[in-house]
Amino acid sequence: MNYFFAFIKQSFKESTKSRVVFFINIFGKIIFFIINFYLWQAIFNYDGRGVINGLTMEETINYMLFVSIMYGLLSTNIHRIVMKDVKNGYINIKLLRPLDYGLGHLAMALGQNIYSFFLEIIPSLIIAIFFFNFKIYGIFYFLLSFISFFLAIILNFFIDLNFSLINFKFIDTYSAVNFAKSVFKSLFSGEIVPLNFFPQIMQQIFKFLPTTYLFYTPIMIYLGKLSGADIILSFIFQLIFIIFFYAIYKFFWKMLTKSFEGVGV
Amino acid sequence: MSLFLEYVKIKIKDFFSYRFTLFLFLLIDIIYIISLSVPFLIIYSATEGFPNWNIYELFFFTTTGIITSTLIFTFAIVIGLDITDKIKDGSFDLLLLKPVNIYYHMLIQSLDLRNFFPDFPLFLIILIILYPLVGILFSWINLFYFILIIFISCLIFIGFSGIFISFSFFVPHFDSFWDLFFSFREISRKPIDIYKNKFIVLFLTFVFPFALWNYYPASILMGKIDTSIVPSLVLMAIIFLAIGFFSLKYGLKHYKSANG
Repeated sequence: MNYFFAFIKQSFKESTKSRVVFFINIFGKIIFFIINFYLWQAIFNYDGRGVINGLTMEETINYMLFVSIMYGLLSTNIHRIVMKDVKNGYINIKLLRPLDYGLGHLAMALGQNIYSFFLEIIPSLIIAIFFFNFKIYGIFYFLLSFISFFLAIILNFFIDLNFSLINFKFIDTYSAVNFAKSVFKSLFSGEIVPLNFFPQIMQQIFKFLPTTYLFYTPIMIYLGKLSGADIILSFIFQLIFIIFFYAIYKFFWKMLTKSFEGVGV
Repeated sequence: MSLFLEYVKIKIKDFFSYRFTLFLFLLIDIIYIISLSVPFLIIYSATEGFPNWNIYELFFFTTTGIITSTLIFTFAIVIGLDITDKIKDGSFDLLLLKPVNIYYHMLIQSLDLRNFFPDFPLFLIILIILYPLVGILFSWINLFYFILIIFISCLIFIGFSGIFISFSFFVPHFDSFWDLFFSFREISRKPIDIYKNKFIVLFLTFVFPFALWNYYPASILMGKIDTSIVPSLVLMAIIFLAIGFFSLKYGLKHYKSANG
């Protein structure tokens, strides 16, 4: 556990070196605020209904603003790291480390996320509140949504890590697989369009997909759309999916490292 | 010119010799089409959609954007990104050592046809299929303007690449700014007239003109807007190209090979 925190600390320190990147990211977020703000306003005004599939215009705009705020935390570059490690044979050195490969990179990602929370999330939250009428529907729900987002970050990391392992066997096809995974994830996590807008039958299926718990569920908690029991159930589901993807990772990692020659490609 | 054509020929031959890569790129294109069309389909199935745009017009608009982007990425952005990387890792110096014109050398060294094939022909076919579905009344003059605006946007973004490369000579880690640049592109993935905000429209037309990738060519072809804007776009292309060329020249002159 000490090693895990040491990795977080190291990654946090490293992140402080590239402050400009965070300012650029905030600027990027403002652009997404503008897109979502005007886009959903136009859709709702043109449609004429006050409520579409259980969401009002204000709720939908706030939903999309929250997606833009949290987006950076739910995007990893683990696929690039694994690809580089496999291609260049760096993995040999990393295998010597006292911490498991996946957990080590999770710690690094968390360290970076802690830094971007203070330098990116909080400032963009303030901008959203003051310039785009971002509403907090209850401080309790808001805090619970952050817990859900924390679990979503870990879940997202292990989903990405599992897909990254394909690099060990098929390094050339990986770009296509990664792209397909990203598209699937962004469509079915509620990142582009709230899942309420999908047909009813698909919404039932989404309940059993891990992607639902990345954006949609934490934001539904923030909007106060989930009951107490549903919130607890969503946390349980997130934990089950984390354990599930971690177990898959351990299984494949053991199998792949056994046959890996480590000479690079 | 003959050397350049020879180079392109080798690149094409090289690309097609790996049939699996070609299949992979086709697969990526299909996924890309899904990623762009599914959100529109979902929005249009649950709501009335975007004001003044039906779903086929929207697909036509999106496909126009992809066709323009394949050209711009191939002949401007990928070259700009590659040279920025070369400046950063020090390998740009190798380009300076060879006894070939530096601009020409930069172009052929960084030209990557993977953005062109199979995307350009594939999406051109899709655009032709969509044409009757949109119900556009054919007009040679509108078709001419359609091609002209796509060409103008290529020239403008070649100018942009020149400006960005020249910044990389002086600002270490300038590559982060490319990400910012691409953020603006996200706004233009939807027709700019739905934003009902003059600032966004002007910004995406004259400052970071991503609306030239899709909105203006598609709208003119569909007869949604008139052609009065075209002369100002031609002027813009000349200005951006000139700024790009002179800033690149200035950057090269003051390059100290000390980035990293």
